Amino acid sequence: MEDEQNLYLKTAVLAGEILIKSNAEAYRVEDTVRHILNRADFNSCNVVALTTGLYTTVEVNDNEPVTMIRRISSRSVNLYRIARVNDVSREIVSGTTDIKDAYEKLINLKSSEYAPYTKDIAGFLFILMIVLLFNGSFTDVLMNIPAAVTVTIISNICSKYNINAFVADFISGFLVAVIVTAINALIPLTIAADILIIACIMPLVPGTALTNGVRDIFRGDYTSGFAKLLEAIMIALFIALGIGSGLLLVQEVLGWIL
Amino acid sequence: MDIIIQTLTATVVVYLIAIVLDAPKKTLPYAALTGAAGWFVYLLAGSESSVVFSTFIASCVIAFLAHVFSRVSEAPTTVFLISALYPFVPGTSVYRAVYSLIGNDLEAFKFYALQSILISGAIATAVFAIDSIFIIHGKIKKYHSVEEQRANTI
Repeated sequence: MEDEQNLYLKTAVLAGEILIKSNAEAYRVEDTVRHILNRADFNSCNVVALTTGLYTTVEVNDNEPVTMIRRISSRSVNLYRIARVNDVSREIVSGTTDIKDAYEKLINLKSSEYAPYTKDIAGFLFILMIVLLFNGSFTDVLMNIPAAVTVTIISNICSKYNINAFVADFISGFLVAVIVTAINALIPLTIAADILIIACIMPLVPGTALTNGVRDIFRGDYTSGFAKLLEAIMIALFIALGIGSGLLLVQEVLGWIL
Repeated sequence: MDIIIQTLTATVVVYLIAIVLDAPKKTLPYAALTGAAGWFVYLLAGSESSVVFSTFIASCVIAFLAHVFSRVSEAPTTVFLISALYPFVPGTSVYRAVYSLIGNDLEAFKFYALQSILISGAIATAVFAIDSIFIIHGKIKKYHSVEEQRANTI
C-alpha cells in the first residue's frame, strides 16, 4: 500500500472513531469513512460501524486486504466534534484540503468550543429554566437551586474521574429526590416537588440515545440502533432507581421523625 | 400571552442545552429557533389533544426545521434535532411512573409507563417520517440529475 493510501485509511478510521465516540448515528459514521476512502484508489472498501466498534477493510491491487478495527468503549454526546468531522470530511471530498492537513486537523480536534465553566453554568441555568417551562412558579425556581447545583457538581466530578454514566445517573437521581423532598418537608412554602425533581433529571435523560437509536433502526442499522435504545432504557432505569430509592428513604426517615 | 412567554422560555432552554451538548457556536441561534418553534406548536396542539399527539406534531416541525437549518448552516442535522427534542423526552412520565410505583398505585404506574413509551414512539415516528421525506427528495433529485447527464452526453 502506498503511503498516501495508508494516510487516507488512517484519516478515515480516525474520523469514524471520533464520530462514534461523540455518539453520532451509525449511517453518518459509515458514510463519512466511505467518502474519505473513496478519494483514495482502493479496489474495494467496506465499513461497518457499530456502537461499540468500527471495522474497516480495504483492498489494494494485488495485495492482501488491509483491515483496521477500533474498539470504542466510552461514548458521550459531543455535537461540536460531530460537526467538525463533518466539515473536514467535506473538505477532503471536495479536494480543498490536503489529506495530510485533514489528518492533522482531526488529530488536533478540540473537545469543545466552550470553557468548562460555561457548560456548567449552562447546565445549571437549563435546570432552572425548565422549571418555568413545565409551569413551575418563581418560588419553585429559587427552591430548585440547591438540587440544580448538586446535579451540576456531580456530573462534573463524574466526568473528571471518568465514572460510569449509570452510576452518575443513579447518584444524581438519588440526591435530587432526597434534597427536593427534604426542602419540601422543611420549608413552609407550597412547592411543586414533582416539577423540581423532573427538571433536575432532564439533563440526564437519554434524549440523544433515544433519537439516534431510532434513526439508526429505521435506516436498517439494527445492531447499533438497538444498542443505543438499550442504552437509553438502561439510563432511564438507573435514574428511576435513584429517584425511587431517594423517595423511599426520605419517606421512611420522615415517618420515623414525625 | 402565556404561549409567548412559554415559547421564549423554550428558546432559552434549548439554547442552554445546546451549549451543554457542545453544539458549535454558529448553530446555537438556529437550534434555539428550532426548539422555540417546536414548543410553540406543542402548545398550540396541546389544548385540543393528547400529549402524545402534540408531541408528534411538534417533533415533525422540529425535524423539518432541523433539516432546513442543516442545509442553511452546513452543520449535521443531529445538532439541531437532539438539542430541540430535549424538552420533549418523556422525563415527566418516567418520573410519575416511578412515583406511582413507590406509592403502590399500579394503575397509575401502567398509565405513565405506557405514556413514556408512546411519547418516545411519537418522537421516533415523527423524526423518521420527516427523514424519509428528505431522503426520498434527495433520491429523486439525484435520479433526475443522472438522467440529465446521460441525455447531455448522448
